[in-house]
Amino acid sequence: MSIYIVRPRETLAARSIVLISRKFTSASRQSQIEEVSSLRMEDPVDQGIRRWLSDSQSRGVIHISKKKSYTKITGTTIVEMPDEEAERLRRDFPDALVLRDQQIELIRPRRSISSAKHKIKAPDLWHLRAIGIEAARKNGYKGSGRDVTIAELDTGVDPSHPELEGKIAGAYTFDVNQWEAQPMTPSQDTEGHGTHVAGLICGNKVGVAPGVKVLSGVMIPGGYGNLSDFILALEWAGTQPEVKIVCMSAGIRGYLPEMREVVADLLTVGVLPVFATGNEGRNRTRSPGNYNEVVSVGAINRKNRVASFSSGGTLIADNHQYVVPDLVAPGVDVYSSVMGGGYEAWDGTSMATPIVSGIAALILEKYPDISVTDLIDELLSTCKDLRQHEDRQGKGLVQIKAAR
Amino acid sequence: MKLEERHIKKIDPLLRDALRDAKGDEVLRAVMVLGPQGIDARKEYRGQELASSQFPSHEAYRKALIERRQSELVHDTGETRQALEDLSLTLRGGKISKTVVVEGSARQILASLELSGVRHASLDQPIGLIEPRRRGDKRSKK
Repeated sequence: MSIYIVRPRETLAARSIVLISRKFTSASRQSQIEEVSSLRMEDPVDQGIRRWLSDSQSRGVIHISKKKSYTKITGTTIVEMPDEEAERLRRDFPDALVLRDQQIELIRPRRSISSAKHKIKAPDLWHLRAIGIEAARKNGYKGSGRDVTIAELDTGVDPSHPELEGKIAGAYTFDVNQWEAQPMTPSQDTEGHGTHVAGLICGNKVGVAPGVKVLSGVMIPGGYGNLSDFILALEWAGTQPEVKIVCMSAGIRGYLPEMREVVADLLTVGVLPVFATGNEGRNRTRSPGNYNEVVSVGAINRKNRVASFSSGGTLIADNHQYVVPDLVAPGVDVYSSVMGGGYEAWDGTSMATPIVSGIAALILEKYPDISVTDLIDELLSTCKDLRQHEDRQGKGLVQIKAAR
Repeated sequence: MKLEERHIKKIDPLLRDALRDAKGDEVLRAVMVLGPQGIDARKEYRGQELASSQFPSHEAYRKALIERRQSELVHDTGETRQALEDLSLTLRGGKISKTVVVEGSARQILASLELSGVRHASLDQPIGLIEPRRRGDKRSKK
């Protein structure tokens, strides 16, 4: 006996484009759910699968999924059955997806809890000065990235830090074997990295866009994940309608083509990927930060020089030559929130990436109808040229100009 | 297992080595890109943009993009997905992308490389945090 996930091969989404042409207000939500449920119940493939499963109970087919209301929306049923019955179901219903479930081995998190209490001082916030935010705020700029949600695919976020209270819209872990994101309540940081990154996106004092909501995807618990976790995490982020930007600072050294397609598809569904290039220095980059399809981010220091560790170089893929990073942002001696409270100064393209994500959110706040390609153009065309080689600085230092 | 040149062209060195060393029934997990060779992904999406101003909200716009992509994928990768499942391989993913995670015996993964709809495959492998330098001595104290 094994556990199987059974559902119609074709999603209702593929046939229900008319459903999305209306407002998704809470008032119309219930009628929409009823309409989707009704469509599902009328689906001949769904009817056939349900009948088959019901008729097969005598052959050892056991329903596991109990939430019928949920099943009515997704058409997915979890059943336990002998492998030969699963084969029979596949033969009888070619339009049914019958996927065998697998157990997942947990990667144990490593925690580094700081109990110290600290506070941040104005001179520490050089990263906000370098990108023009401090001056803009002094001149009355009120942008905060309100109504923008960023999916942060990282180690998780500590939402209790004063910089981040009320800003974490949700947290999810990923189960590759069941191919689903599961709510993590409450949100936690499994390693510490994600809390520092989140602070730079939306922290009250240290953040670029304090009005942004962060959806935390724990893609690399304890700092370790797999390629398959990455693909699931990107699929999850890409299918969350509220997400506009994906911020990620993880990768595999070298150029790995497998992730490129799924990254490109983020653009197809209107999401901006902002990825770190890596901390390996010249001519050494990581995928997916070195794909042409992403906004790739390098790091500079307080002197506006590209940090020696910041990855960059010229790449050739599919007969195209291009350079990474696309742009740079502060990534040396950058103060942000740390798990458990307080602040620390860290170095890395991981620090530069959320700063660029925050600027993108500010542009989105000002131009909510902007397309993802125009958003990329806005980010790149308003950079400050630092007069360094393009394969070190890209277009230059990201600036708030486009959002003002 | 013995690999031919046509197999090696489609796979990364890690999967090549894993398949060479594997017994036929050993279970492997691979990441596969489905669809024809040589697609410029950026070109593919550039020609398809919907204007967000056509929709009542950005969420509705994003939902339209997601659903259209899912619909396209049913058309573009449906046959290959079916063929992979017919090989008793377990497929996961591919909701908005032609990239899927495939698990099954080494023998069947090798057989799947014969499918014209399997463009490239790689062994599932660790992905690392881009580790920053954390300087505790730079803490700002109260």
